Amino acid sequence: MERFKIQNLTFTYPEQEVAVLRDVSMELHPGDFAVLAGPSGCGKSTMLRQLKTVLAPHGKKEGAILFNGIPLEEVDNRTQSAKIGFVLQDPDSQIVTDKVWHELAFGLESLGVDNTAIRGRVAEMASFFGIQTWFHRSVTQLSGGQKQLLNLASIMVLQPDVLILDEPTSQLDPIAATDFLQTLGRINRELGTTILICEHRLEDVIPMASRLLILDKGELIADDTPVGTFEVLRNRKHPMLHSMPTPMQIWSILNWNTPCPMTVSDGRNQLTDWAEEHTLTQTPERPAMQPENAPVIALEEVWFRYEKDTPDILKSVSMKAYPGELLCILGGNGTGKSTMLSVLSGVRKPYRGKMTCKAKKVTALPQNPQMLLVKKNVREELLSVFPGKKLHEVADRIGEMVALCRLEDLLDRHPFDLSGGEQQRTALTKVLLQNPEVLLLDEPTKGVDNDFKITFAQILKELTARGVCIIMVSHDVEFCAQYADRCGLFFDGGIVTIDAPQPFFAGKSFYTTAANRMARHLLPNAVTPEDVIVACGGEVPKRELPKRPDKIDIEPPEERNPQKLPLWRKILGAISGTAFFGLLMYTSRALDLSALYQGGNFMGQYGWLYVVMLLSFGIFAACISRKSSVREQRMMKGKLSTRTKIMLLLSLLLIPLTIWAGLKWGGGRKYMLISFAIIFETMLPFFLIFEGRKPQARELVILSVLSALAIGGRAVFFAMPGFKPVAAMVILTGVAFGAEAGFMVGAMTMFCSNVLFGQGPWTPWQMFAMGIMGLLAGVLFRKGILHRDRFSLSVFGGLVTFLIYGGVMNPASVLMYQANPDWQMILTAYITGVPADAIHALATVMFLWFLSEPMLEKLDRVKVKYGLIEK
Amino acid sequence: MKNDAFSGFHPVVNFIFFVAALGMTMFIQQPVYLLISFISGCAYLLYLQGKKGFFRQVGYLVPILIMMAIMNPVFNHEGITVLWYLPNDNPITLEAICFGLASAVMMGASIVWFNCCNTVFTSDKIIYLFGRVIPALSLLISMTLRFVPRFKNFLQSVVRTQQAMHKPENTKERFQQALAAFSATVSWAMEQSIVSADSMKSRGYGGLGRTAFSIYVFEKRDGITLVLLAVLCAGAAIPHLFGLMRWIYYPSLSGELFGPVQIMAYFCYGGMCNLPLIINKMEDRKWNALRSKI
Repeated sequence: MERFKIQNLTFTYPEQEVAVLRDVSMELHPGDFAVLAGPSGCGKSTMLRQLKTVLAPHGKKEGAILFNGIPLEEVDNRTQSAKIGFVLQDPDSQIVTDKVWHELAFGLESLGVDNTAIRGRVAEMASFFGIQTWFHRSVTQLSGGQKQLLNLASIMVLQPDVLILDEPTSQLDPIAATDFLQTLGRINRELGTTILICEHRLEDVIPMASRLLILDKGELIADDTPVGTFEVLRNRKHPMLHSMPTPMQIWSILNWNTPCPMTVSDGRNQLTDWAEEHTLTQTPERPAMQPENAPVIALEEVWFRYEKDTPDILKSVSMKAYPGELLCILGGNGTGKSTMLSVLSGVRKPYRGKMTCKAKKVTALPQNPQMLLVKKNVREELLSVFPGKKLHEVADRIGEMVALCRLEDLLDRHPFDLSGGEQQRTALTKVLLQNPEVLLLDEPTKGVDNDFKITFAQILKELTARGVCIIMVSHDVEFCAQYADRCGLFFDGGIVTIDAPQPFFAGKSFYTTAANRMARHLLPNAVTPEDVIVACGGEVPKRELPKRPDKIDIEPPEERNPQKLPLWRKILGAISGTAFFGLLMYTSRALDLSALYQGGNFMGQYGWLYVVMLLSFGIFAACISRKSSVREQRMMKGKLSTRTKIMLLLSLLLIPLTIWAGLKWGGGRKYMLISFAIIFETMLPFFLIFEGRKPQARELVILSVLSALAIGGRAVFFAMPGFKPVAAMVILTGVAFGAEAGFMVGAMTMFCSNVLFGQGPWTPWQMFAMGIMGLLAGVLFRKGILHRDRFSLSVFGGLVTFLIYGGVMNPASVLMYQANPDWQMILTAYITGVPADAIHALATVMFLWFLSEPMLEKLDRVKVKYGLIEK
Repeated sequence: MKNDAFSGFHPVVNFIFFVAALGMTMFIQQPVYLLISFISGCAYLLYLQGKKGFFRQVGYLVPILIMMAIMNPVFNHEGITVLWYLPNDNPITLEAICFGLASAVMMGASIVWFNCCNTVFTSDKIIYLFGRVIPALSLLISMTLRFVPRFKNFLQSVVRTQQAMHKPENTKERFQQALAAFSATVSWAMEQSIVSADSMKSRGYGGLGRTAFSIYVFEKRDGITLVLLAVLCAGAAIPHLFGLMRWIYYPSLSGELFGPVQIMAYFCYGGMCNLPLIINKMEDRKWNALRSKI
């Protein structure tokens, strides 16, 4: 029986008219190794995701999918989880837990397999994949290739019938990718697992594949053995031909009457046979580019290492790069190529040797273009390069670059809705808007399909024609051979050789193109498939890109007009604000700290002034905060859930009880005992209820991502002690996802950050304080008291950080270490804590002032797009 | 860090030991108990971290503890044994000095024990212990710990990328750049989260009857250690519960310190606090014996 049978599947995304998949029918037999290929955007991922219910996107579906003869909808989730394995593209984000062994067991845990059985299966799979040497490691210590192998292994422990893989190697370097695909071949051969893979590295998979399917514009245009499919493509003159392995391309254009060669060695033999009967014209040596000018950037015997005690990364690197050239640097992983780029960009300084740079501007495009994408659409993204400039001042420049990088159709899209290649071009445009004379690229063709590469090469060509010097680090041998002006080989911290592509590749046996490996015994200078074809007397079909306009008119982005404040509120706000600051100045001067230690009433007659001060602050805040817009109000409609109410009530009831019990039986350390107990009692209901309702995967992920962001965010502000985005993140979570989520993120953030930085008796207090802040933000927002504008949020954030976090942590320090705390001690703790609390509050205010709007926008996007938490 | 034999015991044993050590340190104010706890804690931390690590982790404590010890008599004037008077006519008493010292030692000991606990009781042990009782929360912890280093890496590379484009010239620009980097990280992390959720669902998360796998096995030696720990704990705690270890600071220092029962209790408490070190020493000796046979 077929593993999968797809009958006339048609699929349309919501609110779209054109179907992504049209009338697709196919069968997948046990033991098949099927490869699904097609140009980007043809619906490959959509099709693969249809094969597992939990991953299938929303939309209108017609036709039937049968799994082992049963309609997929009727196969229960458990069976689907175990029997249909799915490996996604990004190795990193698929890993959920922090230890390798835990990740391997994750699926089996979900299926409720018992401990002994898990142990057996995990051991077996770890041995099959050779994971035992890194079984105990943290997942952060793994390389990209190891991570993807771990993903594969953690699915194979479930013993699936079918393995579906969506571009699993696009983020890996060539050696790791080949390794991964070999393992896949082994699984297919030795375990008999059926495989359906979507892959653009066709050279490596086609020799293993039993079937090759081509999807184009949502239709399955070929479904046959690789050779059969290739025939179909050839008859149709389909553009996918250019993505096929080099020997197949050469064979098809030269029309040999032999069986189609799928590997380099087949191609090599056939070429040898062919050459015995025909004469080959030697490939002419292409003239190497003669640099006319002086080098624009140069390194001279540069040495670099990260720390004084670590090994050297760059060892006497010397290189020169000239204006108007594309210099490609090839080399293995971890040899220091990227480090060299960061030295060239000026981020890292060499400790010996000299770098000369004549360029006014050197910019770098990071390997991951997402690092540069911040805004909510491409247009704003590009405008953000020129902060504070009016649109008309920069429209010409942006228009020109948009046309160059062919972004005109993407301007209104959200950057994260774009495909990898489109994101790449958006990031490139951002970089180019800075007008660089030297452009540094770090593996720009990674994970990008062939069509994008051609467009990308065209952009680079136009840039070099304008005199820009491009230095590109890459693993992509074929791309470099085709388009580079010079190529360099990087090894062991230095550039070993540097030459024009032809002589560079002609001399290598491993670091060279497939065409060269196939033909070098006869045509030593042939580097590209075109070279071989021409030498054999064939004709290369021309591929031209559509002409592009010189400039695109950029329209201004939508302006948001904030509601005007009515005059009376302005006036009242001004009065109360002045009153607040005046009183603040006055009381802080009048405060008699020395009275504190003498046991006097240190607030003295000013007590009432404090009340007035706080009141005026409240009025001030209420006056100038704005009502949120209509859409936002609809989202925050609804009352507090009964759950939240019960939790609050419970904790309120338990606390007096605890105090009474503690005083009665507490003994010498009753204060600490009572306070600990209260803290636990207030937090427990939250945790238990969270546990009790069995949170779904997306909720768990969102909460952990937010906590991790709050903790990880410290890293970037390390230069500013006391500046932590934790409180701000917790408050924003409460506002965006509700009170309960706010509490969980607050408490979890503090707990996990103490796991990393050291637990102490302070942990429960910190968890409690942060949790309450999140809770309060959520409750007040729900009630409509707290508004979604940055002013209200900043004011609220500053207040709660100072009053609640400081208010909990200062007495906590007394309760923790003093046996007989009295009010004076607590007061002293408050007073001594004021500077630290003030900095913390100020930091929270600043974060919320600058971050609240973009951040809430981002959180809303996730909510709206994926319907997360509390719909 | 040294190869600590105690860390190799079952997490339950580790957990109970630290709960006992920390609990007794924080709740029993008897001066000899505090000293025993402080010294044993320091010895164990020294064993775990070596000299360098030890001073790095607790060096900052010394001034704080001294401050605490001095502050108490300055502000607290209870007690009957007046030593001298402050310029503002407040008395400095012997009792207040002793109490200040005891508080300082208590704080020092609990922090030292927390430091030991952080070294021995790693995140996977936390997750293992909580995994049975609160599976969703423990998964939440595990995932958070997984994401933190990942986000940090991304954040740092974003900062580097930005610096390559534009080097910040003053604090304002640095702050703005940091904010932009954080913002970019949030966007990215949000998109990534969806893939993680897909990967969880795809592997059956959310079904009924989830189990918690662990690589820990409860061996015979864990049982023996646990029993030993319980006996020693009882030996140290029971006299306290019966009020035999009562020690009062105010108004005057009083209580019996060195009666036979007290000395017995000290032995039990000392044995308990030093259990990890004793285990380590026994292990070392076993190795030496094995080696000398070869």
